[in-house]
Amino acid sequence: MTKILLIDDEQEFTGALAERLELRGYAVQAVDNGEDGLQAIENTPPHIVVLDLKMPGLSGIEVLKRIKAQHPSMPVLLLTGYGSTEEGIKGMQLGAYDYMMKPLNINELISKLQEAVGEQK
Amino acid sequence: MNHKRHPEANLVFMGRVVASYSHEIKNVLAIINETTGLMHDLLTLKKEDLAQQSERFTKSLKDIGDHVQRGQQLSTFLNTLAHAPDKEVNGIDLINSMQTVFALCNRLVRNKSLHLTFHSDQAPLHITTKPVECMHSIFCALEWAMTNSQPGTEIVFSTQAEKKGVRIEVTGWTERNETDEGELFQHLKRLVTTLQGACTINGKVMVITLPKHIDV
Repeated sequence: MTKILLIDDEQEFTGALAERLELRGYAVQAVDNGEDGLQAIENTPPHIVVLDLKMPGLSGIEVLKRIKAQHPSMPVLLLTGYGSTEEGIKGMQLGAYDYMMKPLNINELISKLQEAVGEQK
Repeated sequence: MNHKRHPEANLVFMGRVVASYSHEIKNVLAIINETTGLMHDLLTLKKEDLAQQSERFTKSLKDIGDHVQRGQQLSTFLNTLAHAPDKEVNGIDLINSMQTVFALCNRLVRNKSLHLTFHSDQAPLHITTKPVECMHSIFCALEWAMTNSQPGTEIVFSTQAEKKGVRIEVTGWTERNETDEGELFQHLKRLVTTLQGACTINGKVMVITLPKHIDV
């Protein structure tokens, strides 16, 4: 079963998204900040991380850099609320697999998750 | 923000606040989107499994209602900001203007892991002033306090009605370079001067005073 780690400070968002992904057969862990996300990766490495760029405390970009330093091959899919694509592109330059704009389309998210994890396997 | 290189500083201020709003409203929409999506997913379950989901539906409906309200409040505040430039000088409720700036900038405060509290001894607090520059001054004071605070700090704004005007105090910020008040503070002082008020730092308190009626 594919393990996904969701990192986003909007708990209602991650809660609902986690349930939707679980209904589709994924194992999901959700945390609401970067520090807990990094700890979760060390405790139970996921197959893929879905990471919000703007969060209190450690920013998404900082979390991405730390994940890539420790786990270079772990795919990271970025989420952004920005209208521009600048932050997403910056994240991809730092090693993110791809980025998606909020609100999400669940089918697009599933395709990207499958692509990213498929490429890893 | 380099204020010297941006003569249209009010426009830059508006842009930053609207950016914060748009980020927040996207989160609101994302939550509603996932919650309605989840409800749709649950409806595809087998009848016997669906019967066990009534609590989940009730919670989802509550979440949607809460976030519609959150989005509505943010839009109301954005509308207040958008109408600020209607008249160069106008009668405003300072409390409402401050609440508008704080609500729209909530994301900026949270991203720095700071907390913001606002106390007022009376509401509404009517003054005649330049609405855009007034909101810009509040934003600038908040930005200065955020710049001078460590994560976890609670920044406190309070207002007091005085005989000839109002006094705004900003406390809770934790750091300050005593020898250099910085470009941001100088910018704030210039803004407050255009409102015929004053801005000083007394120990650990920033004090902004504004007249009840600006002379035009």
